[in-house]
Amino acid sequence: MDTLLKATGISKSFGGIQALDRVNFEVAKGEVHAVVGENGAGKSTLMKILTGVYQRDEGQIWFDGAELSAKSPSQCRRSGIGIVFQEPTLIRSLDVKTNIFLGNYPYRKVPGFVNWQKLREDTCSVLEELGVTIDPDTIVSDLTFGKRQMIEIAKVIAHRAKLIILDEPTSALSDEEKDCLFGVIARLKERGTSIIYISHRLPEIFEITDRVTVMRDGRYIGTESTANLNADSLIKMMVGKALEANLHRGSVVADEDILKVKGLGRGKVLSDISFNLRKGEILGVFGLVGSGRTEMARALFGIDKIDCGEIWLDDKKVAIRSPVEAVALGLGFVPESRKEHGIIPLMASGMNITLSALGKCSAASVVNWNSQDGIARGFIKKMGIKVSSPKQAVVNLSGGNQQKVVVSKWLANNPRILILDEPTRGVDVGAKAEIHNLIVQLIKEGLSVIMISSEMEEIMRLADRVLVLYEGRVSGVLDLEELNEENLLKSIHGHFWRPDQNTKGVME
Amino acid sequence: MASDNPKVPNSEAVGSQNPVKARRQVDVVGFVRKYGMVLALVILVVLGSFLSEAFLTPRNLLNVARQVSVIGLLAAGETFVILAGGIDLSVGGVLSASAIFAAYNQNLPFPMLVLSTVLFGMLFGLTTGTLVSRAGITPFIATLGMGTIGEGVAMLLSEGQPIFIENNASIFTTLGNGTFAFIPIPVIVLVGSILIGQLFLSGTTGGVYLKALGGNEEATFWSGINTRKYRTLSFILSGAFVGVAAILAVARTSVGDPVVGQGTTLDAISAVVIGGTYLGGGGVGSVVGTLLGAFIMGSINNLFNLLNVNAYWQMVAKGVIIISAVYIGTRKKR
Repeated sequence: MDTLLKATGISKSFGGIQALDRVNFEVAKGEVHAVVGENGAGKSTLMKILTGVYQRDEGQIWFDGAELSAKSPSQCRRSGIGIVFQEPTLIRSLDVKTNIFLGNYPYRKVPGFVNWQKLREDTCSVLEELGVTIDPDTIVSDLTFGKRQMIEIAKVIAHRAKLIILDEPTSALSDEEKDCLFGVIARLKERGTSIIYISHRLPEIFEITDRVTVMRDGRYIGTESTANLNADSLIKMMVGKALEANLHRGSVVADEDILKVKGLGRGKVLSDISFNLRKGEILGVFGLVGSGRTEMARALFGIDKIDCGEIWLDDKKVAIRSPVEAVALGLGFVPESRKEHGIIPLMASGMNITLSALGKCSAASVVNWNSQDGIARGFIKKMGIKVSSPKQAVVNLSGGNQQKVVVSKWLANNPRILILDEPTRGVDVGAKAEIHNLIVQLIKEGLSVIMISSEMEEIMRLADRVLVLYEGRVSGVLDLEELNEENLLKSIHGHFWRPDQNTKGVME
Repeated sequence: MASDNPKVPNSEAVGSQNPVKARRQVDVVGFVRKYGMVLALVILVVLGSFLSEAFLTPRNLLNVARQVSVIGLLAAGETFVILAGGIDLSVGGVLSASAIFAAYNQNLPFPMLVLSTVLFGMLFGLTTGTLVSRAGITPFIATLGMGTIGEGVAMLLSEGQPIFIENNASIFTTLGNGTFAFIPIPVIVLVGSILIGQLFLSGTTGGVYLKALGGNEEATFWSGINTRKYRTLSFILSGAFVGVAAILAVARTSVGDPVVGQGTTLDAISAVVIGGTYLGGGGVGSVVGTLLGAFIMGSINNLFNLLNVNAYWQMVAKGVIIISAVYIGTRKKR
């Protein structure tokens, strides 16, 4: 087996945070090599180093018999390492041939004038190599997502890539499109191209990869031949960490439902979502990207319309068609994207805090500024928000403090149910611990919380129960006793966990 | 991902340094934002008094104030729309339509006439607001269309001819050219309207929500605020101020002119921008700032006239000033 890529002792840190710690990694010629690991394991950092987006602090990379000296994405591409990102990079308004050879057009005798005939022929030959039939003159926006993915791959092939990195390539594909992609991968393999396949979906890994490399916490755990592994043994390699104490464990959850959701459905994104939230409980929501975590919360909060399903609050059926109605019913939502959905950047921090509760400190729309200021200052003190004054624009605060402002905005409204979507994303370690303690404190004060998180550690520390979603469906509800990494990983990969009410096994 | 690593030292310290650094920044920016305009106006007045003896006289200054009253009112209304992250290109067209509406209905009892003209302007605003917030048409296009409709309505009602004021003539004349305690009545109307607008903006939930809308519409929506309602409200307020401006415009000349609004839209937007309101979102600005902006523009015009500067050069200068104001505004944003 010839080695195409060999990386040894790769380390990378960002501002004192070790993202990769002496990682070794090897890819053979003509193999499909899976890289797996939880969120934060360091997969994407490693790939960014291989493609020249980041520079390594330490370590060596040999590629195709020579040391890889490329220092930028375009140099790496020229040396033969191509990547197909999760996010589409095609220009949708242009046609296929123009996209595939973007920046690399064949010219006529006069430079600057494109030889369209040759471009068309080159495109046909690349597509033929992949074994797909697409008219090179088709506008990209007229193609399905699956076809667009093929174009992305063709674009990489057109640059004569010897190693192609596919990052979660099937996340937006239908089953047939996926089969077609796997056909293309098989063809590429035949002609000796190596593929690094990054995916959270275990069945796919077992279907098409030759070897698997497991990463965890920025470290290299091991490489195994796929044939020697099964789902259980792979998950064991991915976990392997001692359990952290659950912060919330031992607190009292009432045996009474505050919220019941029955058969919630929305297009193809959510189907038949049913669960209950008990008073004073932290219900963790866990799942992969695209599992419907955030979509479920958005539907619940009235941001997206639902097609079917019922929401019951205190045993009363309610309709939530907009955030206005959700807020009136006592719900709050700390969104995943603070910048987009959380803060008004140039507005004063204090005003951001009282934005949602402003109606409560005003009479006939006239604001009582004393009471507004009192509320703002109260939360700045209670939450330990570091501001020079309540007038300081929220955009000038650190990420953790901004997050505290957003949480305060909802607490000022005295909600009964608080939805937290990735409550500690992009905040530093200290602020993270503070926010965790705050959540526990709030539960003790009688709030009920739905907490979405992609960090297993966070879920394990805080949740009383965990609702696991897989491809828009409930794939398991884990009680505190059943809550461990192995069970969580099984559920997020669609393994049927427990025959609960209304839940069905998704995988064989 | 990597930031979760619990072994990292100093992360607390890193987090706590940011606000200190930010504080210094904010004070400078805040100072410029707060007093920059006043400073500009003061410099302008001092400069003007050196350049022309006639400039710094009470009579001339009151004259300037009288001249900016109509544009000032348009700009005040425009402030609400721009503050909420939109733009209103219809104020000129709606001004023409409202002026003709007022002249056309001059037989109505005067209070009724004022009220119905203001309602007429608000109706345009309501239509625009509905197009923007319900039909999802961008403010640029919706107001461009409504402004053109306004121009058309003015021409249809007037048959393209000015409508002279015959009834209520004395009230109109007093309103347009009279004084109260030496202050021209249009100036009193302007300042009074500005104060009411500023009170709304800085005293009510609606004012805060408009700023929030301009600062981040999505986040405002997610905060449980009826964004459609307040988006529409911004246009209705703009329409109401156009209605008041229309009454003044008719009163000053005793005629309903179907093309009175031509060219006023850009002047109004300029006054708002020079007055420190962020164009294209941000949610920062004030109606009082707009008043200062209108005075700055009016003073420059007046000074150029006193100095006999060619009118075409005046246009060039105005363009330069507007671009500079926006440039300074965007620099501040960063």
